[in-house]
Amino acid sequence: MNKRPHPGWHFLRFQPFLLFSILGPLVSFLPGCRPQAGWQEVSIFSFDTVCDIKVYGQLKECQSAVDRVREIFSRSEALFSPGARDFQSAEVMELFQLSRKIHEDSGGAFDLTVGVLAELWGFRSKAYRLPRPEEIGQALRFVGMEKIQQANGKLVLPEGVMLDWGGIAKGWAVDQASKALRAAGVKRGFINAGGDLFCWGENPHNQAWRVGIKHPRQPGFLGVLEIRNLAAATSGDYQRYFLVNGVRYHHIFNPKTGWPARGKQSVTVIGPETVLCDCLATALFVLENPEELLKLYPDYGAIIVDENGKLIFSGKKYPFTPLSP
Amino acid sequence: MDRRTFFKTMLTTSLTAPWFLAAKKSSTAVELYLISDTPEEILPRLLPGLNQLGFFQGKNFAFSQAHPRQEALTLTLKAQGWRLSSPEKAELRVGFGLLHAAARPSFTLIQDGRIRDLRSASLYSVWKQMQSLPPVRVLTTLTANSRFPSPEPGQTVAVRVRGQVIERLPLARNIRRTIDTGSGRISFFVENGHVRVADSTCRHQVCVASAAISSAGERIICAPNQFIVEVEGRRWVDTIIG
Repeated sequence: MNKRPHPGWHFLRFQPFLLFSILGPLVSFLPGCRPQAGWQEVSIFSFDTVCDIKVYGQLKECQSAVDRVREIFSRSEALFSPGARDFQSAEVMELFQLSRKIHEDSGGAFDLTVGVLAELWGFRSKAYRLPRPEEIGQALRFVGMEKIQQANGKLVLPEGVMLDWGGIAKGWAVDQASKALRAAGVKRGFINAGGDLFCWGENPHNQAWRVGIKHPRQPGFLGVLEIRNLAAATSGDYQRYFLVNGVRYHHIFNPKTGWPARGKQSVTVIGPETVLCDCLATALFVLENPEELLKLYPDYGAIIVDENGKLIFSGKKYPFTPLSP
Repeated sequence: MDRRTFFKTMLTTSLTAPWFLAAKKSSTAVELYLISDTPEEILPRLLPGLNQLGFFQGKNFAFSQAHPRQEALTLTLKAQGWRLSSPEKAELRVGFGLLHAAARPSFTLIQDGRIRDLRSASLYSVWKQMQSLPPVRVLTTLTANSRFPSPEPGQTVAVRVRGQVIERLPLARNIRRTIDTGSGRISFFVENGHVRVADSTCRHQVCVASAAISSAGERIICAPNQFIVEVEGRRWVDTIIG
Protein backbone atom coordinates (compact mmCIF):
# COMPACT_ATOMS: atom_id res chain seq x y z
CA MET A 1 0.00 0.00 0.00
CA ASN A 2 1.09 3.44 -0.77
CA LYS A 3 2.20 5.00 2.52
CA ARG A 4 2.41 8.50 1.18
CA PRO A 5 1.37 11.02 3.79
CA HIS A 6 -1.81 12.91 3.58
CA PRO A 7 -2.73 16.07 1.63
CA GLY A 8 -2.24 19.07 3.72
CA TRP A 9 0.10 17.55 6.26
CA HIS A 10 3.12 15.81 4.96
CA PHE A 11 5.03 18.83 3.79
CA LEU A 12 4.78 20.37 7.22
CA ARG A 13 7.42 17.89 8.38
CA PHE A 14 11.06 18.86 8.84
CA GLN A 15 10.30 22.51 9.25
CA PRO A 16 12.47 23.88 12.01
CA PHE A 17 10.40 27.03 12.37
CA LEU A 18 7.50 24.91 13.55
CA LEU A 19 9.61 23.59 16.40
CA PHE A 20 10.57 27.12 17.44
CA SER A 21 7.07 28.43 17.15
CA ILE A 22 5.96 25.76 19.62
CA LEU A 23 8.93 25.91 21.97
CA GLY A 24 9.37 29.69 21.88
CA PRO A 25 6.28 30.71 23.86
CA LEU A 26 6.78 27.82 26.28
CA VAL A 27 10.33 28.84 27.12
CA SER A 28 9.45 32.51 27.43
CA PHE A 29 6.82 31.68 30.04
CA LEU A 30 9.05 29.51 32.20
CA PRO A 31 11.48 31.93 33.93
CA GLY A 32 8.95 34.20 35.62
CA CYS A 33 6.47 31.41 36.30
CA ARG A 34 3.79 33.98 35.59
CA PRO A 35 0.20 32.98 36.14
CA GLN A 36 -1.20 31.96 32.81
CA ALA A 37 -3.22 34.43 30.79
CA GLY A 38 -6.03 33.16 28.64
CA TRP A 39 -9.36 33.94 27.06
CA GLN A 40 -12.31 34.21 29.42
CA GLU A 41 -15.87 34.11 28.16
CA VAL A 42 -18.90 35.12 30.20
CA SER A 43 -22.54 35.79 29.38
CA ILE A 44 -24.53 38.05 31.64
CA PHE A 45 -28.21 38.90 31.48
CA SER A 46 -28.90 42.57 31.16
CA PHE A 47 -31.18 44.94 29.20
CA ASP A 48 -33.62 42.08 28.71
CA THR A 49 -31.05 40.26 26.61
CA VAL A 50 -27.75 38.42 26.84
CA CYS A 51 -24.49 40.27 26.95
CA ASP A 52 -21.46 38.28 25.86
CA ILE A 53 -18.06 39.28 27.09
CA LYS A 54 -14.82 37.76 25.88
CA VAL A 55 -11.56 39.16 27.20
CA TYR A 56 -7.94 38.14 27.26
CA GLY A 57 -5.99 38.28 30.47
CA GLN A 58 -5.26 36.54 33.72
CA LEU A 59 -8.19 34.92 35.43
CA LYS A 60 -8.31 37.35 38.36
CA GLU A 61 -8.07 40.41 36.12
CA CYS A 62 -10.80 39.06 33.90
CA GLN A 63 -13.10 38.30 36.79
CA SER A 64 -12.83 41.80 38.15
CA ALA A 65 -13.28 43.10 34.59
CA VAL A 66 -16.53 41.18 34.26
CA ASP A 67 -17.70 42.43 37.65
CA ARG A 68 -17.02 45.96 36.46
CA VAL A 69 -19.08 45.40 33.31
CA ARG A 70 -21.89 43.96 35.39
CA GLU A 71 -21.87 47.06 37.58
CA ILE A 72 -21.95 49.43 34.60
CA PHE A 73 -24.75 47.51 32.97
CA SER A 74 -26.98 47.34 36.00
CA ARG A 75 -26.47 51.06 36.60
CA SER A 76 -27.36 51.84 32.97
CA GLU A 77 -30.34 49.54 33.13
CA ALA A 78 -31.65 51.32 36.21
CA LEU A 79 -31.23 54.71 34.55
CA PHE A 80 -32.56 53.93 31.10
CA SER A 81 -35.13 51.16 31.35
CA PRO A 82 -38.73 52.02 30.36
CA GLY A 83 -40.41 53.80 33.22
CA ALA A 84 -37.17 55.03 34.82
CA ARG A 85 -37.81 58.37 36.47
CA ASP A 86 -34.29 59.79 36.74
CA PHE A 87 -34.22 63.02 34.75
CA GLN A 88 -31.24 64.75 36.28
CA SER A 89 -28.21 62.50 36.76
CA ALA A 90 -25.10 63.33 34.76
CA GLU A 91 -25.45 60.17 32.65
CA VAL A 92 -29.05 60.93 31.71
CA MET A 93 -28.20 64.51 30.80
CA GLU A 94 -25.21 63.41 28.71
CA LEU A 95 -27.21 60.86 26.78
CA PHE A 96 -30.06 63.31 26.33
CA GLN A 97 -27.75 65.90 24.75
CA LEU A 98 -26.40 63.28 22.38
CA SER A 99 -29.91 62.10 21.52
CA ARG A 100 -30.97 65.64 20.76
CA LYS A 101 -28.00 66.10 18.43
CA ILE A 102 -28.83 62.92 16.52
CA HIS A 103 -32.49 63.97 16.49
CA GLU A 104 -31.54 67.25 14.83
CA ASP A 105 -28.97 65.74 12.46
CA SER A 106 -31.43 63.09 11.31
CA GLY A 107 -34.27 65.56 10.76
CA GLY A 108 -36.30 63.97 13.54
CA ALA A 109 -35.87 60.33 12.46
CA PHE A 110 -34.31 59.51 15.82
CA ASP A 111 -36.56 60.47 18.67
CA LEU A 112 -36.50 59.53 22.35
CA THR A 113 -40.21 60.16 22.78
CA VAL A 114 -41.41 57.17 20.75
CA GLY A 115 -42.03 55.46 24.11
CA VAL A 116 -45.71 56.23 23.86
CA LEU A 117 -45.88 54.43 20.48
CA ALA A 118 -44.08 51.37 21.86
CA GLU A 119 -46.66 51.34 24.64
CA LEU A 120 -49.60 51.78 22.27
CA TRP A 121 -48.52 48.98 19.94
CA GLY A 122 -47.95 46.65 22.90
CA PHE A 123 -44.18 46.32 22.60
CA ARG A 124 -43.70 47.11 26.28
CA SER A 125 -46.19 44.62 27.68
CA LYS A 126 -45.66 42.22 24.73
CA ALA A 127 -49.45 42.19 24.36
CA TYR A 128 -49.11 43.26 20.71
CA ARG A 129 -52.01 44.97 19.02
CA LEU A 130 -52.75 46.91 15.87
CA PRO A 131 -54.03 50.33 17.01
CA ARG A 132 -56.75 52.23 15.19
CA PRO A 133 -55.53 55.21 13.12
CA GLU A 134 -57.19 57.69 15.50
CA GLU A 135 -55.36 56.13 18.45
CA ILE A 136 -52.07 56.63 16.60
CA GLY A 137 -53.07 60.24 15.87
CA GLN A 138 -53.75 60.75 19.57
CA ALA A 139 -50.43 59.21 20.58
CA LEU A 140 -48.48 61.38 18.13
CA ARG A 141 -49.43 64.40 20.23
CA PHE A 142 -46.94 63.10 22.80
CA VAL A 143 -44.14 62.44 20.31
CA GLY A 144 -41.39 64.95 19.52
CA MET A 145 -38.18 65.72 21.35
CA GLU A 146 -38.86 69.45 21.22
CA LYS A 147 -41.58 68.79 23.84
CA ILE A 148 -38.90 68.03 26.45
CA GLN A 149 -37.75 71.09 28.36
CA GLN A 150 -34.64 71.58 30.43
CA ALA A 151 -34.77 73.55 33.66
CA ASN A 152 -32.18 73.76 36.45
CA GLY A 153 -30.14 70.95 34.91
CA LYS A 154 -33.19 68.71 34.85
CA LEU A 155 -35.38 67.32 32.08
CA VAL A 156 -38.99 68.33 32.32
CA LEU A 157 -41.41 66.01 30.58
CA PRO A 158 -44.97 67.14 29.86
CA GLU A 159 -47.71 64.80 31.03
CA GLY A 160 -48.05 61.79 28.74
CA VAL A 161 -44.57 61.98 27.15
CA MET A 162 -42.59 58.77 27.60
CA LEU A 163 -38.91 58.32 26.96
CA ASP A 164 -37.61 55.28 25.13
CA TRP A 165 -33.86 54.97 25.51
CA GLY A 166 -33.90 51.65 23.62
CA GLY A 167 -32.13 53.04 20.55
CA ILE A 168 -29.13 54.42 22.41
CA ALA A 169 -28.67 53.21 26.02
CA LYS A 170 -27.26 49.76 25.28
CA GLY A 171 -24.64 51.18 22.95
CA TRP A 172 -23.71 53.75 25.55
CA ALA A 173 -23.35 51.08 28.25
CA VAL A 174 -21.12 49.01 25.96
CA ASP A 175 -18.87 52.05 25.42
CA GLN A 176 -18.66 52.73 29.16
CA ALA A 177 -17.86 49.10 29.88
CA SER A 178 -15.25 48.72 27.14
CA LYS A 179 -13.57 51.97 28.18
CA ALA A 180 -13.40 50.74 31.76
CA LEU A 181 -11.90 47.42 30.67
CA ARG A 182 -9.30 49.02 28.44
CA ALA A 183 -8.39 51.44 31.22
CA ALA A 184 -7.97 48.43 33.52
CA GLY A 185 -5.42 47.01 31.08
CA VAL A 186 -7.49 44.46 29.16
CA LYS A 187 -5.87 44.62 25.74
CA ARG A 188 -8.07 42.31 23.71
CA GLY A 189 -11.71 41.41 23.80
CA PHE A 190 -15.25 42.24 22.90
CA ILE A 191 -18.52 43.13 24.57
CA ASN A 192 -21.65 42.21 22.67
CA ALA A 193 -24.84 43.35 24.39
CA GLY A 194 -27.56 41.74 22.31
CA GLY A 195 -26.13 43.08 19.06
CA ASP A 196 -24.43 46.26 20.25
CA LEU A 197 -20.80 45.35 19.92
CA PHE A 198 -17.45 46.85 20.66
CA CYS A 199 -14.28 44.86 19.96
CA TRP A 200 -10.69 45.84 20.57
CA GLY A 201 -7.29 44.31 20.00
CA GLU A 202 -7.13 41.09 18.06
CA ASN A 203 -9.16 37.92 18.11
CA PRO A 204 -7.81 34.56 19.43
CA HIS A 205 -6.27 33.88 16.00
CA ASN A 206 -4.40 37.20 16.12
CA GLN A 207 -6.56 38.60 13.37
CA ALA A 208 -9.33 41.14 13.18
CA TRP A 209 -12.52 40.13 15.00
CA ARG A 210 -14.95 38.34 12.75
CA VAL A 211 -18.45 39.50 13.38
CA GLY A 212 -21.32 37.66 11.73
CA ILE A 213 -24.30 39.84 10.88
CA LYS A 214 -27.54 37.90 11.12
CA HIS A 215 -29.56 37.54 7.96
CA PRO A 216 -32.87 39.35 8.44
CA ARG A 217 -34.94 36.63 6.80
CA GLN A 218 -32.95 33.39 6.87
CA PRO A 219 -30.98 31.36 9.35
CA GLY A 220 -27.27 32.11 9.03
CA PHE A 221 -25.41 35.25 8.17
CA LEU A 222 -25.82 38.14 5.81
CA GLY A 223 -22.07 38.43 5.85
CA VAL A 224 -19.01 38.77 8.01
CA LEU A 225 -17.35 41.96 9.22
CA GLU A 226 -13.65 41.94 10.02
CA ILE A 227 -12.97 44.76 12.45
CA ARG A 228 -10.72 45.75 15.31
CA ASN A 229 -11.08 48.66 17.76
CA LEU A 230 -14.48 49.35 16.29
CA ALA A 231 -18.12 49.13 17.20
CA ALA A 232 -21.11 47.81 15.29
CA ALA A 233 -24.83 47.74 15.95
CA THR A 234 -27.84 46.48 14.03
CA SER A 235 -31.46 47.60 13.92
CA GLY A 236 -33.79 45.13 12.27
CA ASP A 237 -37.47 44.56 11.70
CA TYR A 238 -37.02 40.91 12.69
CA GLN A 239 -35.82 41.54 16.24
CA ARG A 240 -39.17 42.35 17.81
CA TYR A 241 -42.29 42.15 15.70
CA PHE A 242 -45.70 40.62 15.28
CA LEU A 243 -47.65 39.65 12.21
CA VAL A 244 -51.25 40.54 11.37
CA ASN A 245 -52.63 39.09 8.12
CA GLY A 246 -49.07 38.46 6.94
CA VAL A 247 -47.98 42.08 7.53
CA ARG A 248 -45.01 42.59 9.80
CA TYR A 249 -45.29 45.24 12.52
CA HIS A 250 -41.96 45.82 14.25
CA HIS A 251 -40.57 47.94 17.06
CA ILE A 252 -38.75 50.71 15.14
CA PHE A 253 -41.23 53.53 14.75
CA ASN A 254 -41.25 56.43 12.37
CA PRO A 255 -41.82 59.31 14.82
CA LYS A 256 -43.56 61.32 12.10
CA THR A 257 -46.23 58.74 11.21
CA GLY A 258 -46.49 56.67 14.38
CA TRP A 259 -46.23 53.48 12.29
CA PRO A 260 -43.33 51.03 12.13
CA ALA A 261 -40.79 52.39 9.62
CA ARG A 262 -41.01 50.76 6.18
CA GLY A 263 -38.54 50.11 3.38
CA LYS A 264 -35.78 48.21 5.17
CA GLN A 265 -35.16 44.84 6.77
CA SER A 266 -32.00 45.67 8.64
CA VAL A 267 -29.40 48.39 9.12
CA THR A 268 -25.96 47.72 10.56
CA VAL A 269 -23.73 50.66 11.40
CA ILE A 270 -19.98 50.33 11.96
CA GLY A 271 -17.77 53.01 13.48
CA PRO A 272 -15.62 54.07 16.42
CA GLU A 273 -18.33 54.49 19.08
CA THR A 274 -21.02 51.97 19.97
CA VAL A 275 -23.45 54.61 21.18
CA LEU A 276 -23.37 56.37 17.80
CA CYS A 277 -23.63 53.08 15.89
CA ASP A 278 -26.67 52.25 17.99
CA CYS A 279 -28.62 55.45 17.41
CA LEU A 280 -27.46 55.95 13.81
CA ALA A 281 -28.75 52.45 13.00
CA THR A 282 -32.15 53.38 14.43
CA ALA A 283 -32.19 56.72 12.58
CA LEU A 284 -31.07 55.19 9.27
CA PHE A 285 -33.74 52.53 9.58
CA VAL A 286 -36.34 55.30 9.54
CA LEU A 287 -34.66 57.63 7.02
CA GLU A 288 -35.21 57.30 3.29
CA ASN A 289 -31.89 58.81 2.31
CA PRO A 290 -29.06 57.43 4.47
CA GLU A 291 -26.25 59.28 2.66
CA GLU A 292 -27.13 62.69 4.04
CA LEU A 293 -26.96 61.68 7.69
CA LEU A 294 -23.77 59.69 7.20
CA LYS A 295 -22.11 62.67 5.55
CA LEU A 296 -22.23 64.29 8.99
CA TYR A 297 -20.54 61.21 10.51
CA PRO A 298 -17.70 60.45 8.11
CA ASP A 299 -16.20 57.71 10.33
CA TYR A 300 -19.37 55.66 10.18
CA GLY A 301 -20.56 53.25 7.54
CA ALA A 302 -23.82 51.38 7.08
CA ILE A 303 -24.82 48.05 5.59
CA ILE A 304 -28.48 48.22 4.71
CA VAL A 305 -30.82 45.46 3.57
CA ASP A 306 -33.77 47.04 1.79
CA GLU A 307 -37.29 45.63 1.70
CA ASN A 308 -36.43 43.49 -1.33
CA GLY A 309 -33.41 41.98 0.37
CA LYS A 310 -30.93 44.07 -1.64
CA LEU A 311 -27.67 45.07 0.05
CA ILE A 312 -26.85 48.78 0.07
CA PHE A 313 -23.60 50.23 1.39
CA SER A 314 -23.50 53.80 2.58
CA GLY A 315 -20.89 56.04 4.18
CA LYS A 316 -17.45 54.77 5.14
CA LYS A 317 -16.51 51.31 3.89
CA TYR A 318 -15.39 48.66 6.36
CA PRO A 319 -14.15 45.15 5.52
CA PHE A 320 -17.30 43.13 4.96
CA THR A 321 -17.73 39.87 3.10
CA PRO A 322 -21.29 39.20 2.00
CA LEU A 323 -22.31 35.55 1.99
CA SER A 324 -24.29 34.42 -1.01
CA PRO A 325 -27.73 33.23 0.08
CA MET B 1 8.76 16.38 -6.16
CA ASP B 2 7.33 16.72 -2.70
CA ARG B 3 4.92 19.41 -1.66
CA ARG B 4 7.53 21.52 0.00
CA THR B 5 9.64 21.70 -3.13
CA PHE B 6 6.50 22.45 -5.03
CA PHE B 7 5.80 25.54 -2.96
CA LYS B 8 9.39 26.62 -3.17
CA THR B 9 9.16 26.29 -6.92
CA MET B 10 5.99 28.30 -7.01
CA LEU B 11 7.43 31.12 -4.98
CA THR B 12 10.60 31.34 -6.96
CA THR B 13 9.04 30.99 -10.37
CA SER B 14 8.73 34.39 -11.93
CA LEU B 15 5.74 33.24 -13.89
CA THR B 16 3.61 32.28 -10.95
CA ALA B 17 5.03 34.31 -8.08
CA PRO B 18 3.14 37.56 -8.72
CA TRP B 19 -0.10 35.68 -9.04
CA PHE B 20 0.53 33.58 -5.97
CA LEU B 21 1.45 36.58 -3.86
CA ALA B 22 -1.62 38.40 -5.05
CA ALA B 23 -3.70 35.48 -3.87
CA LYS B 24 -1.83 35.47 -0.55
CA LYS B 25 -2.86 39.06 0.14
CA SER B 26 -6.43 38.03 0.71
CA SER B 27 -5.26 35.55 3.28
CA THR B 28 -8.74 34.42 4.20
CA ALA B 29 -9.75 33.29 0.72
CA VAL B 30 -10.51 29.67 0.02
CA GLU B 31 -8.36 28.43 -2.84
CA LEU B 32 -7.85 25.12 -4.50
CA TYR B 33 -4.53 24.47 -6.25
CA LEU B 34 -4.95 21.65 -8.69
CA ILE B 35 -1.96 20.20 -10.54
CA SER B 36 -3.27 18.16 -13.41
CA ASP B 37 -3.30 18.31 -17.19
CA THR B 38 -6.90 17.10 -17.21
CA PRO B 39 -8.53 19.31 -14.55
CA GLU B 40 -11.91 18.80 -16.21
CA GLU B 41 -11.77 15.13 -15.23
CA ILE B 42 -10.63 15.69 -11.66
CA LEU B 43 -12.93 18.57 -10.75
CA PRO B 44 -16.25 16.72 -10.94
CA ARG B 45 -14.82 14.23 -8.46
CA LEU B 46 -13.62 16.95 -6.09
CA LEU B 47 -16.44 19.47 -6.11
CA PRO B 48 -19.14 17.38 -4.40
CA GLY B 49 -16.75 16.52 -1.55
CA LEU B 50 -15.61 20.13 -1.18
CA ASN B 51 -19.21 21.25 -1.33
CA GLN B 52 -20.07 19.03 1.59
CA LEU B 53 -17.37 20.75 3.59
CA GLY B 54 -18.96 24.08 2.78
CA PHE B 55 -16.55 25.21 0.08
CA PHE B 56 -17.22 26.45 -3.43
CA GLN B 57 -20.94 26.76 -3.06
CA GLY B 58 -22.55 29.05 -5.58
CA LYS B 59 -23.89 29.28 -9.07
CA ASN B 60 -21.63 31.49 -11.18
CA PHE B 61 -18.08 30.94 -12.32
CA ALA B 62 -15.63 32.84 -14.49
CA PHE B 63 -12.07 32.48 -15.78
CA SER B 64 -9.62 34.95 -14.35
CA GLN B 65 -7.02 33.97 -16.98
CA ALA B 66 -7.18 32.14 -20.28
CA HIS B 67 -6.93 28.45 -19.53
CA PRO B 68 -5.68 25.78 -21.97
CA ARG B 69 -8.55 23.49 -20.94
CA GLN B 70 -11.10 26.31 -20.87
CA GLU B 71 -13.67 24.68 -23.12
CA ALA B 72 -13.56 21.32 -21.42
CA LEU B 73 -13.67 22.97 -17.97
CA THR B 74 -16.66 25.11 -18.96
CA LEU B 75 -18.56 22.02 -20.10
CA THR B 76 -17.69 20.16 -16.92
CA LEU B 77 -18.71 22.97 -14.60
CA LYS B 78 -21.93 23.55 -16.53
CA ALA B 79 -22.73 19.87 -16.14
CA GLN B 80 -22.27 20.40 -12.38
CA GLY B 81 -24.89 23.13 -12.41
CA TRP B 82 -22.57 26.16 -12.64
CA ARG B 83 -23.18 29.10 -14.97
CA LEU B 84 -20.51 31.03 -16.84
CA SER B 85 -20.78 34.67 -15.80
CA SER B 86 -18.86 37.92 -15.64
CA PRO B 87 -15.88 37.88 -13.22
CA GLU B 88 -17.59 40.38 -10.85
CA LYS B 89 -20.63 38.18 -10.44
CA ALA B 90 -18.74 34.91 -10.16
CA GLU B 91 -18.56 33.12 -6.82
CA LEU B 92 -15.89 30.87 -8.28
CA ARG B 93 -12.94 32.08 -10.33
CA VAL B 94 -10.82 29.68 -12.30
CA GLY B 95 -7.20 30.60 -12.96
CA PHE B 96 -4.26 29.06 -14.72
CA GLY B 97 -0.56 28.90 -14.01
CA LEU B 98 2.35 27.02 -15.45
CA LEU B 99 4.76 25.42 -13.00
CA HIS B 100 8.47 26.02 -13.46
CA ALA B 101 9.13 22.30 -13.20
CA ALA B 102 6.76 19.39 -13.65
CA ALA B 103 5.15 18.15 -10.44
CA ARG B 104 3.20 15.09 -9.48
CA PRO B 105 -0.54 15.67 -9.97
CA SER B 106 -2.25 16.63 -6.70
CA PHE B 107 -4.48 19.23 -5.13
CA THR B 108 -4.23 21.46 -2.07
CA LEU B 109 -6.94 23.42 -0.37
CA ILE B 110 -5.87 26.66 1.26
CA GLN B 111 -8.20 28.34 3.66
CA ASP B 112 -7.33 31.43 5.69
CA GLY B 113 -3.84 31.20 4.30
CA ARG B 114 -3.41 27.73 5.77
CA ILE B 115 -3.48 24.29 4.24
CA ARG B 116 -6.75 22.59 5.06
CA ASP B 117 -6.37 19.00 6.17
CA LEU B 118 -8.61 16.84 4.02
CA ARG B 119 -7.76 13.49 5.56
CA SER B 120 -11.22 12.84 6.87
CA ALA B 121 -12.89 13.55 3.57
CA SER B 122 -13.56 11.23 0.67
CA LEU B 123 -11.23 13.48 -1.29
CA TYR B 124 -8.24 11.52 -0.11
CA SER B 125 -8.93 8.64 -2.49
CA VAL B 126 -8.89 11.04 -5.45
CA TRP B 127 -5.66 12.54 -4.20
CA LYS B 128 -4.04 9.14 -3.87
CA GLN B 129 -5.00 8.12 -7.39
CA MET B 130 -3.67 11.37 -8.80
CA GLN B 131 -0.32 10.71 -7.21
CA SER B 132 0.30 7.72 -9.45
CA LEU B 133 0.05 9.85 -12.62
CA PRO B 134 3.14 11.24 -14.37
CA PRO B 135 4.35 14.75 -13.42
CA VAL B 136 2.82 17.71 -15.27
CA ARG B 137 3.18 21.50 -15.31
CA VAL B 138 -0.46 22.62 -15.62
CA LEU B 139 -1.74 24.33 -12.48
CA THR B 140 -5.43 25.21 -12.19
CA THR B 141 -6.59 27.42 -9.36
CA LEU B 142 -10.10 27.75 -8.03
CA THR B 143 -10.78 30.78 -5.86
CA ALA B 144 -14.00 31.21 -3.97
CA ASN B 145 -15.47 34.64 -3.59
CA SER B 146 -17.10 33.87 -0.33
CA ARG B 147 -14.44 33.53 2.26
CA PHE B 148 -16.67 32.11 4.97
CA PRO B 149 -18.73 29.05 4.28
CA SER B 150 -22.26 29.11 5.64
CA PRO B 151 -22.53 28.04 9.28
CA GLU B 152 -21.58 24.45 9.89
CA PRO B 153 -23.91 22.04 11.61
CA GLY B 154 -23.13 21.91 15.31
CA GLN B 155 -21.93 18.96 17.32
CA THR B 156 -23.02 19.56 20.89
CA VAL B 157 -25.61 21.53 22.80
CA ALA B 158 -24.48 23.57 25.80
CA VAL B 159 -27.09 24.36 28.43
CA ARG B 160 -26.33 27.42 30.52
CA VAL B 161 -28.18 28.68 33.56
CA ARG B 162 -27.07 32.00 35.09
CA GLY B 163 -24.06 32.00 32.81
CA GLN B 164 -22.75 28.61 33.96
CA VAL B 165 -22.72 25.58 31.68
CA ILE B 166 -24.69 22.95 33.57
CA GLU B 167 -24.79 20.31 30.87
CA ARG B 168 -23.49 19.41 27.41
CA LEU B 169 -25.56 17.13 25.22
CA PRO B 170 -24.79 15.55 21.85
CA LEU B 171 -26.84 17.09 19.04
CA ALA B 172 -27.07 13.72 17.36
CA ARG B 173 -29.18 12.06 20.07
CA ASN B 174 -32.85 12.78 20.68
CA ILE B 175 -33.24 13.97 24.27
CA ARG B 176 -35.80 15.86 26.32
CA ARG B 177 -34.87 17.78 29.46
CA THR B 178 -36.70 19.83 32.06
CA ILE B 179 -34.58 22.20 34.09
CA ASP B 180 -35.36 24.09 37.26
CA THR B 181 -33.53 27.38 36.82
CA GLY B 182 -34.29 28.85 40.23
CA SER B 183 -36.54 31.47 38.68
CA GLY B 184 -38.76 29.01 36.85
CA ARG B 185 -38.91 25.79 34.89
CA ILE B 186 -38.05 25.27 31.25
CA SER B 187 -38.26 22.20 29.02
CA PHE B 188 -36.43 21.72 25.78
CA PHE B 189 -35.72 18.86 23.43
CA VAL B 190 -33.11 17.79 20.92
CA GLU B 191 -34.64 16.07 17.92
CA ASN B 192 -33.03 15.16 14.60
CA GLY B 193 -30.18 17.58 15.14
CA HIS B 194 -32.44 20.51 16.08
CA VAL B 195 -33.04 22.08 19.49
CA ARG B 196 -36.32 23.68 20.48
CA VAL B 197 -37.84 24.92 23.74
CA ALA B 198 -41.07 23.01 24.43
CA ASP B 199 -42.42 25.03 27.32
CA SER B 200 -41.40 27.48 29.96
CA THR B 201 -42.90 29.14 33.00
CA CYS B 202 -41.74 32.59 31.81
CA ARG B 203 -44.25 35.34 31.07
CA HIS B 204 -43.65 36.26 27.45
CA GLN B 205 -42.81 32.83 26.03
CA VAL B 206 -40.24 34.29 23.63
CA CYS B 207 -38.10 31.16 24.04
CA VAL B 208 -41.01 28.87 23.17
CA ALA B 209 -41.73 30.93 20.06
CA SER B 210 -38.07 30.86 18.95
CA ALA B 211 -37.32 28.81 15.84
CA ALA B 212 -35.41 25.54 16.22
CA ILE B 213 -31.63 25.88 16.12
CA SER B 214 -29.07 23.58 14.54
CA SER B 215 -26.02 25.51 13.29
CA ALA B 216 -22.93 26.20 15.37
CA GLY B 217 -23.30 29.46 17.27
CA GLU B 218 -27.10 29.58 17.21
CA ARG B 219 -28.93 29.84 20.50
CA ILE B 220 -32.24 30.19 22.22
CA ILE B 221 -32.39 32.54 25.18
CA CYS B 222 -34.90 32.76 27.98
CA ALA B 223 -33.99 35.97 29.80
CA PRO B 224 -36.47 35.63 32.72
CA ASN B 225 -35.08 32.17 33.46
CA GLN B 226 -31.48 33.26 32.73
CA PHE B 227 -31.32 30.23 30.50
CA ILE B 228 -29.37 29.77 27.27
CA VAL B 229 -29.24 26.70 25.09
CA GLU B 230 -26.53 27.02 22.45
CA VAL B 231 -25.33 24.81 19.61
CA GLU B 232 -21.58 24.40 19.72
CA GLY B 233 -19.27 23.48 16.91
CA ARG B 234 -16.74 24.95 14.54
CA ARG B 235 -17.55 28.60 13.99
CA TRP B 236 -16.35 31.04 11.39
CA VAL B 237 -17.08 34.11 13.41
CA ASP B 238 -16.12 35.32 16.87
CA THR B 239 -19.49 36.80 17.66
CA ILE B 240 -22.84 37.55 16.07
CA ILE B 241 -24.85 40.75 15.90
CA GLY B 242 -28.28 41.54 14.54
